[in-house]
Amino acid sequence: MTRTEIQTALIEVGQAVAVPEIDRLAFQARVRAERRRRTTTRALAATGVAAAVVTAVGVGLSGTVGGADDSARVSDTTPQAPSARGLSETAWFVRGGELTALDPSGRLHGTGVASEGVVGFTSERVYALDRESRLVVRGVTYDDEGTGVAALTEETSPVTGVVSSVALSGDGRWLGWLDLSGTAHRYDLKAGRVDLQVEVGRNASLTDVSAEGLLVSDDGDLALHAAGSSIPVPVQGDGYGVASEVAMGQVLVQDRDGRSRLYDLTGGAAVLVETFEGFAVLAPYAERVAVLDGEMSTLSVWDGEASPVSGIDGRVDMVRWMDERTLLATAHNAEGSALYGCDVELRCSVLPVDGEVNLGG
Amino acid sequence: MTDPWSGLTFDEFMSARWTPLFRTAYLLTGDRHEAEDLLQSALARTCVRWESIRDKGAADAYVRTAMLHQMSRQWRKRRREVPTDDLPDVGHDGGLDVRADHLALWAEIRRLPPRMRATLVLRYVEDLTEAATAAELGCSVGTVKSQTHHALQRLRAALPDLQLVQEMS
Repeated sequence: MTRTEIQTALIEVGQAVAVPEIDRLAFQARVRAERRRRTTTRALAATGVAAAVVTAVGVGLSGTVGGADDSARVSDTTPQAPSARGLSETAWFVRGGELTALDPSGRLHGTGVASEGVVGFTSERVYALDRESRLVVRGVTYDDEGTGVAALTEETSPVTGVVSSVALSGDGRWLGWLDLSGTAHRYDLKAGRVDLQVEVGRNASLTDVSAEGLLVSDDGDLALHAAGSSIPVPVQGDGYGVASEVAMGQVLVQDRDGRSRLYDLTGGAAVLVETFEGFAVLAPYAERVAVLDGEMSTLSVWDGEASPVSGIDGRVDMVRWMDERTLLATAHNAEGSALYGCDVELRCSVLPVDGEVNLGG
Repeated sequence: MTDPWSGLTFDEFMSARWTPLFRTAYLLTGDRHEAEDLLQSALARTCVRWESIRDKGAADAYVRTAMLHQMSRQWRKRRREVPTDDLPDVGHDGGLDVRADHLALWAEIRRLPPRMRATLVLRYVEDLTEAATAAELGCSVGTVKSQTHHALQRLRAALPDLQLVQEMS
């Protein structure tokens, strides 16, 4: 077979590219998400069959279709939802001042840790601040089915001492913190070492961390700091960018004018990509944003396509992305507050947690 | 004769095939991060269906098909993106130690629409026939032929000094 220039070039390029190690942590999370997706699809299919059967029986027995009665019959025969439907991984929050986990099987697990807030979590561990602003880490091991927490173990924190501010990257690989002397650190959790340190000042605040660097707000200025470089990011109005996020070279700034702005920094400067009305939260791999503007919706960063998030009864208070497709949200109405697990392509389900919870720090 | 693949666990498969599959993913996407993301998704899909894959020797093809399906969804998502002449610096991908003319050719291949690039990768790197390429891409053999033709036309226009044959024998 003739080897064309194209074939030779492609093979040579393929051989020359640096192949990364398998990130087994990220892979396990994807496998769990894939298992849940299959389960959800099957459950939906089963629900559809049940609904069709009930409608047909309704016609045969009463000769009428439609109206509220029909809905009730369909709903009554819908298979019982799992207690923590909507969760593929363990969700973490602070409830009654205690760091608490809810596993996919619907069981709550108290840790006994009095906590200021959750910094972030992966399927394997959670990072939280205790009441003295020290970082605590708890590891998770699952039962054989992979849905229930078998044990929570205390793990050594990579950070010693009190932190001024701290963040975990959306992909769970990078931990960033600002110490009391004004130095921002980035720790590579995969490599197990600090790989970036930047002097930013004692009054600064670390707002997020990613592969691209440390996002720091300092006296009204927001900038993404990397080794030997710093990219300023605009903030609008009387804003300090303290709730800003970064992922995949995109920075989302929650400005004080009621809008959120997404900037692309991959070209070495901040270029405005999109402005969202309301408070927006960036998904871990920056493919979506969740936007709170009275109601909650998600938007694709790629094509701007908006999808309303349904199933929430009340006003949304807090949102946290668990993965690119799953959101945790708290909402309240006249009857009280509730925690929801939301599949952004399907709908939200109430999670079995009583009382108010705090999702963030 | 014993099937050498029959007792293969998914973990063994992934460890053994990660590198070549990553290279394919890189050629399909043109970006290391996207390649890793794409491959991880495809492998996760394969992992949960591992027991139902009877011919473990064909698992490479299963993963490749999963990558192409995933990419196909992304193509649809990104169809409204405006292409530009600016490509990420090759150094962004860790630097490629290849011949200068091949690097220039690769830069042009990366500028091709993803589906066109995938056609070239399947035909020229994976060595698939036109029919097999059409089956993996979910299109007709005629589309594979026209995609290949247009890809070569574009590359020839961009790099007139390179001698590109019309079709492989």
